[in-house]
Amino acid sequence: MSMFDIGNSPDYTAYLALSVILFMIGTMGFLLRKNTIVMFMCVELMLNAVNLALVAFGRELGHAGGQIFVFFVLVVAAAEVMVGLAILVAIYRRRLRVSADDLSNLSG
Amino acid sequence: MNAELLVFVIFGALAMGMALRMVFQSNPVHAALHLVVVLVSIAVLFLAQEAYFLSVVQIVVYTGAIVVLFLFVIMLLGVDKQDDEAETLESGRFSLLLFGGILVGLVAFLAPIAGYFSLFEERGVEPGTLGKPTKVNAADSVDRYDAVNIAGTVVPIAHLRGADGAPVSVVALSPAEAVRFSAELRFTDKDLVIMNQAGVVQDHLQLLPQGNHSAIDPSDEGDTETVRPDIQVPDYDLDEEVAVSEIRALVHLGNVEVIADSLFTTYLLPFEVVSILLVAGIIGGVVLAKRDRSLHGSAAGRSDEALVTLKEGREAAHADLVTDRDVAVTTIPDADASLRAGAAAGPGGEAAKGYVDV
Amino acid sequence: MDAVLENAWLIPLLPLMTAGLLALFGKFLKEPLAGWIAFLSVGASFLLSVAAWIGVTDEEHETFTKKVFDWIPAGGFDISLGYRVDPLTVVMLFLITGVGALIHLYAIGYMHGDPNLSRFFFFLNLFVGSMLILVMANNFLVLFIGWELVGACSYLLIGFWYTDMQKSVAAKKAFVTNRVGDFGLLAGMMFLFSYFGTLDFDTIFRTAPSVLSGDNAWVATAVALLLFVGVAGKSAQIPLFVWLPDAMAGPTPVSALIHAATMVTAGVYLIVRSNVLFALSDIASIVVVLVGIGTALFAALIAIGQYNIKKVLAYSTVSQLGYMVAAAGIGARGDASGYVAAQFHVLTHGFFKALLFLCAGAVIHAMHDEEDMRKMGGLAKKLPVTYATYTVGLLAISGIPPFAGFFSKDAILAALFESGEWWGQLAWAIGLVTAFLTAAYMFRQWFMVFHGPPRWDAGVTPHEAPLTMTAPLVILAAFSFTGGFALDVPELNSLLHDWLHPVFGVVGGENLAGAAVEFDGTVMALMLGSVVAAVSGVGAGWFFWHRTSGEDRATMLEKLGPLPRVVREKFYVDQTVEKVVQKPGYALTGALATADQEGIDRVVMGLGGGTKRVGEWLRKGQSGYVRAYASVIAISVGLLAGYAFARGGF
Repeated sequence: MSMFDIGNSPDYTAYLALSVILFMIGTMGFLLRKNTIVMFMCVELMLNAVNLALVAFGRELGHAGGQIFVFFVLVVAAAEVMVGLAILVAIYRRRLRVSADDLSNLSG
Repeated sequence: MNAELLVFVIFGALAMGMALRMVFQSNPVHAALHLVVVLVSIAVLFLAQEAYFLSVVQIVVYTGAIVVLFLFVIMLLGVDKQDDEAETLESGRFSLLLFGGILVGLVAFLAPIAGYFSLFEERGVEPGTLGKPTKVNAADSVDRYDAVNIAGTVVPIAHLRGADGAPVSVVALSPAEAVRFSAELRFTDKDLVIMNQAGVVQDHLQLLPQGNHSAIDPSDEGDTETVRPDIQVPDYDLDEEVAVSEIRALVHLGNVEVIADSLFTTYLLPFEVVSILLVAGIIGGVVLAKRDRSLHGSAAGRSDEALVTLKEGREAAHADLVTDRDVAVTTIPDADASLRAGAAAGPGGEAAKGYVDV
Repeated sequence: MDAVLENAWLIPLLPLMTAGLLALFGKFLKEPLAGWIAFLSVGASFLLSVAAWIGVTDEEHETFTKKVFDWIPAGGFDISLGYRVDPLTVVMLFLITGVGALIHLYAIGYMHGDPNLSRFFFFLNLFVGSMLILVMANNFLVLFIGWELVGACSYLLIGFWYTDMQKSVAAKKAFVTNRVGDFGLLAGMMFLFSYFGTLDFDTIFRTAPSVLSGDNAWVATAVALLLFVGVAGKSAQIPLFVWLPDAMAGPTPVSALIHAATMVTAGVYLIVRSNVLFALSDIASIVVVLVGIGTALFAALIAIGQYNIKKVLAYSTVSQLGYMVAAAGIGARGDASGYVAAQFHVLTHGFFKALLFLCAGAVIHAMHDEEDMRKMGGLAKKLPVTYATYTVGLLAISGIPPFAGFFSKDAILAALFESGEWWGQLAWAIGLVTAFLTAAYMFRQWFMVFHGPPRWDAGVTPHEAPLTMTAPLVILAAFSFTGGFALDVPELNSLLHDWLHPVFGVVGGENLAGAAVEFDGTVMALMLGSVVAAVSGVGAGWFFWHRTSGEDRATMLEKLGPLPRVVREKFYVDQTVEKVVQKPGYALTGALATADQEGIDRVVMGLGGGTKRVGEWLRKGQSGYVRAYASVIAISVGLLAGYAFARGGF
């Protein structure tokens, strides 16, 4: 047997695998990039990967909860982007840069 | 070739590729555009999983609102070319390797899990099609679908054939679960199995022809005569037409009504809480993005002076760090004029570069 | 009169509310107003007490208790805040509110011109309210609240003129000494709670004879002795009496009200209230009687040597309290009715000692705050009202019939003698000597202050006090004259005896009030003995301090060797306490402080320093770069996920 057996619909594990890969790409991006805006995009990517997994689970279990939670994640992501970008704008006004490596005021 | 598989392969690959390009894209505007492609791909994958409503919302909210907001901020700040060369992978090579490793490991571990579900194929049941009432009569092992009303909750029943060909009635939260467990546990068609959300058998009832049902202690294996009259089982309704529509509602989830129904009944409180969060987010965004008047008013002079004094000390410490990097942004149009003037007036020569460390 | 008793909680509440009013708005009240408000609230309490008295009478001496609310309902520990009105409470109510009201009136004149007048009346009213709580309590814990509050008020009032170092030191001394006593009371209460499961008076006193019998008999002794530690603190008994003479540093109305008439009798009240507990233990009774009568003698001896007008009265208070405690200790043994006698003396002493203090205050007032009797003399003509009223008080305390003190002191001595116990009769003999000494030192004071040649300082022009001060004197003098025979006379009158009868518990089938005294040969002999002791004391006082001239007195004293010096130095009690308690205490606290600084502090500081060093090291890990933190999170999640998979699933 194979996960991608031709002729069958992909089962939820296929979606999960895709979700994991996207999540990892997001994580990698978050860790590698210095531009805070791009880092932000990576976070969005990670959230979307999770959404994909939630929908796949919901479908597999025949439960509406999966999609409902995606809905909540969407709302939270919207709020997060709103505040996050506002913070970026505020930081930029003060420092004229949005590189994450310049923001090390909390260093011990 | 199965249509869903085709869609999955094409858009999954597209999402992965575009995500990678997004990460390695030095220009933030381009990164944002790649993100749009990823998000749209995911919307299509939602569609493939019958999450119609979500797929539309995904496009509207993400590409329509969030990515536009990203682009707007990028334009506003004018940072589109700021850190392209600075973005090398040197510093992150180790993490890159590490997470690449973890990624491979996870996928490798997922494969045996997927193997468990080969069950579907062996039983001749097409996974993922069980929930579709239109296909009820087509599948060979599933005879028909029903719903029963147990204690006010409508639960789907799958009437299907077990491994030995004997008919079995299974009540479960998901038809896929029903198939799996009936196959493994070998109940007869006189049994009605009730499972909880985790798929664990909670009780099983013997279906009696008169419609008067009693609970049977599941610990007495196969002994159907052990009737437990102390457990009162409520009447359940086997009206076929109602049953089919309710199964549609419960099983066929890519449906706005089902989402709305759950959202405004079961998940009402989280819904309200999230609404408050959103409002708080709006207020937070406004407060943060609002220009700090004190920097421009009468107090501006004083606070700028303080800023500069603070800066001088910091700058000495950061001198090598600063010169190391390409940070000269003297001509940034949106830079805070008063801040820059104060910085330039300071004795620290670095201030001329416009790098203000507070 | 049910309504009165139902609302008897107003009696303590009125002074307390006035106290609050004075505390909050005292600054806005002009001088006499604060005093009058305070006086009126206590007067109103007095009227309510009269009503309560009628109420108790109507219900045929029934004990009235009422729970106001559940205070500490904590499982098995269930304390309700309630009050109790019974004949004993009524007697105390009369004393506190009656004498209290008169002293408030007096204080209006005495404290005239003091800038902190409203504060003074605030404290004074708070004191009256607290004392009322104490006597109206229906359980030990509420009594303890009152007990502590009056202690606090006493501290505040002794140190009322706190800018004077000596006075604030005296206040501190009173407070600390009282704490020692309070410890005993508290420990006694804990004992009671562990054996009775409640602190309620009714329950404890009703069940004590059965609960504290057999194997538990020792508990009665322990509880009684512990309670007596509290009594010794509050009622200034050996060895805790040292605070009371120093407490005279407070304003004279305070000395009269708190340190003579009311607060110091709280200890006696406690014994009378807990009569059952004390009656159950012979050992405790012996200790109480001997300590009491010893205090009486000891303080009387010291009083002879004092020159400060208030100190003499203070030691006489200690001495009289010793009488009361001894009487309360003998209880109902034999034919005695010691509890009634003690309570009787509480009342009469409240009248005449308040009177004497107020007279002393009037004298001090007239002499421009001079308290040394050696600088007085010949004041009889200058202060006629004070002189006359003082004389009444003098005769009362000396035990000259038919003044009040005679009857109450005689009742005490009779109770001690008729107990039939050897220690009771020993106490009686000492008491007789003390009676002689009492008359002697009181007449000494009388002669030194009012007779003989004036020895005033230059510029002192004595003048009679205003009406607000003399009116209370006259009223109290009337009580000091009538208070004895009106209340209790053997054979003829047993008013107080009958009145208090229902208050007492029943042990071994007999009411602890004891039998009403019948007039027989013994009683007559005892009375005669008291009178002889008193009159010879008067004679001695007259002979030694009036007839004998200063030089002769000096030569006579020389013959006595070091004794007069020892007496004048109060038997070196304070010095001994300083050596035995204070010095080791300082040494101990010094050692503890050193241990704290060198031992504990070092450990704590070391911990802090170590934490700081560890922190210095750890902070290097805090780079401040977001991506570094994110890497740590990601690596950790990866490791956890790997572990989970390795275990074979989540």
